[in-house]
Amino acid sequence: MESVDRATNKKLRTAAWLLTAIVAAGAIALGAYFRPWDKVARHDEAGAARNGETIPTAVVTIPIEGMTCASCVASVKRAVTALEGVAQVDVDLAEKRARVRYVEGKTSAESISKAISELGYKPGTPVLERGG
Amino acid sequence: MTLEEFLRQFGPGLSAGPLLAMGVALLGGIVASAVCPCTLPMGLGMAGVVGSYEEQSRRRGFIIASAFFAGIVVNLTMLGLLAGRLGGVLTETFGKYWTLAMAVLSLLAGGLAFYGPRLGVDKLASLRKPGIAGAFGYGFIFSLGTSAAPLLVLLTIAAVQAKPLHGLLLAMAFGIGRGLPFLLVGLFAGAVVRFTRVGRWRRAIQYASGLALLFVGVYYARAFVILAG
Repeated sequence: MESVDRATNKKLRTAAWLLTAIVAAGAIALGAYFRPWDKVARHDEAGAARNGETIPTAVVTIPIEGMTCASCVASVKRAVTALEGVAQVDVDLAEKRARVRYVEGKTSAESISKAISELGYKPGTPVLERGG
Repeated sequence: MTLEEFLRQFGPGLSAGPLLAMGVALLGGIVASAVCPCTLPMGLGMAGVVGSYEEQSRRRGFIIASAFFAGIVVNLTMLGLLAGRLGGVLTETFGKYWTLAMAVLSLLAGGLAFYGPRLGVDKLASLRKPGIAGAFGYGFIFSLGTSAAPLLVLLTIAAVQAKPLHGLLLAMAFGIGRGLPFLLVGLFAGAVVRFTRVGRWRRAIQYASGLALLFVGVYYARAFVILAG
């Protein structure tokens, strides 16, 4: 009887370790995939601009071809938001365009278009709403 | 190429006779599936679900794939009916909740693919109907979020305002084209599983199925987090 219990205990312990390892690996993988800390560490001018402080920003509207669904919208939003100097991004699936507010000098319509095309979508001619 | 590029080339065909127009719409559906980034994860998920259901019975996997396909076609036909009022489906709010729904459904399907085969034989019968209805619903909701935008492009180019029946037929053909890749993937996956029916592969297929759908769930969960944040 006792040997059976010991064997069971050993199995339970192994299972517990395995489960912990899987959960840890999963958490690390999820962290790398979602990167929630990206939002926290943005102590820069873009963050200030987002907070409404008076930093010169420009607004550009870029038509985008090839977005089919909400996850495409999410990809574009993430890629453009990740660019340095971008304060705000609004992606419209119905109108097929992205409206980006950014700090002039930190990035440009060209860089934003490049980021979008690198994802596989086709950016059209950017339209500057107000500059400087 | 994008769907817009395809339609720029073949668009005029949409205003031609009904057969040619439907043919172009069907091809357009296939192109839309080919270029949508959602197709690959969903294709994997489809292979996973069909694979795990094929474990249980020969025809089950095929029926599941067909139900998913039917969901897409029915949904697109419905969207074709609503042609003028598709706006609501394309808003960011809808998109946000749609990605959440897709994430939840995918994780559920993954759990089912993983644990389903472990349930006893007597429980299989009770899983059958939910399986088919579930696959249909999954395809329907998937199409709702991913096909409205391309369909709008197609219907605009076809200029169907004056001919609602024409628009409906185009939408249906588009739906068939849109769903065809998934149906084919499902059939292929089913055939593969059927021909590798050696005892030791069953576990591997079960794990792979669950993992594929888990991946789909995480893919949509990630999109939800980005849209909500």
